Amino acid sequence: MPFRFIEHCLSEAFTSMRRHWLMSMAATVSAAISVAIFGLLVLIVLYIRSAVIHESEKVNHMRVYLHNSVTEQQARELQRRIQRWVLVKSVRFVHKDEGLKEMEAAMGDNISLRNLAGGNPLPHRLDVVAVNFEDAVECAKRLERLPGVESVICMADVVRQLSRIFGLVRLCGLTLVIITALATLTLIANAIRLTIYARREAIRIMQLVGATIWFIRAPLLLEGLVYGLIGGAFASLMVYGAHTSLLRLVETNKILLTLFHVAVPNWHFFASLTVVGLIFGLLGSLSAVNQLVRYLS
Amino acid sequence: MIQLHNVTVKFKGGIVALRDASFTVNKGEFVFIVGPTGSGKSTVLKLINRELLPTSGKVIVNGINVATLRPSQVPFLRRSIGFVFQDFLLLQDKTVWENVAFALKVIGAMRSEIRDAVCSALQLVGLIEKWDAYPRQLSGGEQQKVCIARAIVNNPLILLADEPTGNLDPDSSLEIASLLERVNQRGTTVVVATHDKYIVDFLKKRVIELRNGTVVRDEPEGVYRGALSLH
Ligand SMILES: Nc1ncnc2c1ncn2[C@@H]1O[C@H](COP(=O)(O)OP(=O)(O)O)[C@@H](O)[C@H]1O
Ligand SMILES: [Mg+2]
Repeated sequence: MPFRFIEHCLSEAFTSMRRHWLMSMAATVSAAISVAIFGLLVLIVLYIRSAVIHESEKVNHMRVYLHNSVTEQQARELQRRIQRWVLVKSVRFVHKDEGLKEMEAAMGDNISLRNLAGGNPLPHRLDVVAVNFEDAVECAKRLERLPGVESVICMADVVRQLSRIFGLVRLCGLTLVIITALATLTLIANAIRLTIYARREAIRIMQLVGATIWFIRAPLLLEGLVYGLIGGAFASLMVYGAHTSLLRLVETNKILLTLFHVAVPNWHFFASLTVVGLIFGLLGSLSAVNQLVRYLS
Repeated sequence: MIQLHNVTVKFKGGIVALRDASFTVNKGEFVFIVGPTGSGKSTVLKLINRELLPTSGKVIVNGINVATLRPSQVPFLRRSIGFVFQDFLLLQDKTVWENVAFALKVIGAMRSEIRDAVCSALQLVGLIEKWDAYPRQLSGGEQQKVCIARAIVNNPLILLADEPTGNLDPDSSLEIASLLERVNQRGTTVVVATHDKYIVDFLKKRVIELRNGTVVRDEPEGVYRGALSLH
């Protein structure tokens, strides 16, 4: 019984798909697109989240860039002054040569900033750590008002901005996912409806000779599952391709590379995308088949 | 085998298709249900097949009140009932053999079982030589014979036919009538809904006449026009 049942489902489903192959293609491609967009969204969310986590470890850190004219001695005086603030946990003086080395290390060996600018273009810098995250922004404002301070980069601000982008991307992505998912469900359901219409006489005969509802329903569900499976698998490949080519693109940039490395998706991620495709296929065909079942009973 | 007890069927919109109808069909009987179009003949067959449930009254088939069947049990009732239509309902992309075998395949029958059953069904209707023809290559009478083969291939207890000769010429109609009689002689209970005077008068079986959903005549070895119809 199970073998004959499976044979029946396969032959019915594939005959139908061959008959309206254009509709089948549309359903599959649509499934691929919506799952791919879903996958890319998850990937981007992973990237940004890893970036936020990466940076929020240093969320109470501030970089205080001094004027070019400020000497090392003046800078050290400023360091001692800031050190006495209640809000401040620690202040480190970073000589402009040290700053240059850091930057060169981050950007790769092939660029020498010193040669590029004909000398060290960087000013001296003070790395300030606030006692806690809440005070960091207030602290940064006060630092900006000090004489000799050119600019202050506050990680709390960076994190806040990243979070805002994060939310925006998530919102746009979710909207896009919902729209394409609805289109996919409609296309899959329509393909199944087409099968039901083309097979209406066979379905009527099955109903009259006493075929169980599963004999009627299963080949239709299988058809939807096939669309979802193939679409989902293609989407996995697309997202995987996007991810690897992005990695290749940022290979030369060490800051970006650390960012993306935190979010390297494993095979579970891509298997899950295929499952998402399967779920789309199941939902699409269920909606069409339920209409039929309501009509039959 | 089949019992209707005071059955009334009302459709939405207030149409009463059957009004307080009662009759019993015994095992092995051959019954014509006659009456003009719209008198409720098809409704009776659909009640037996549980495509319709009575608005009131009871329909009992094989000793079971069909209203008590759960939806999942309905297919098993239908496996004991063959059904033949006026407009054949054959699958055009399947051969004669495949059309008959389809009825067994979709209820999960085994392949060897299918081979033997299809063979004897086609032999009974006299179409074994045309087993690999397609429906469009057959005459109307032959197509209806394929339908009868499909309806009896599972050895049903009951055969229901709704206007089986409605699309056929008189000669073919008589052939189909004789074939239905032969099926009946093998022990199958046969119920034929028809307004084909010709075959009713030819076979002289029990006749149940409906008028506007009411049973107005029920006589053994009857003819199409009963005493009541003369008025
Ligand atoms: N699904 C339905 N909905 C509403 N009215 C129906 C339906 N089926 C049949 N009828 C009505 O019920 C009456 C009996 O129909 P039917 O049993 O098909 O008659 P017959 O087969 O004798 O021609 C007719 O008046 C018909 O219009
Ligand atoms: Mg009718």
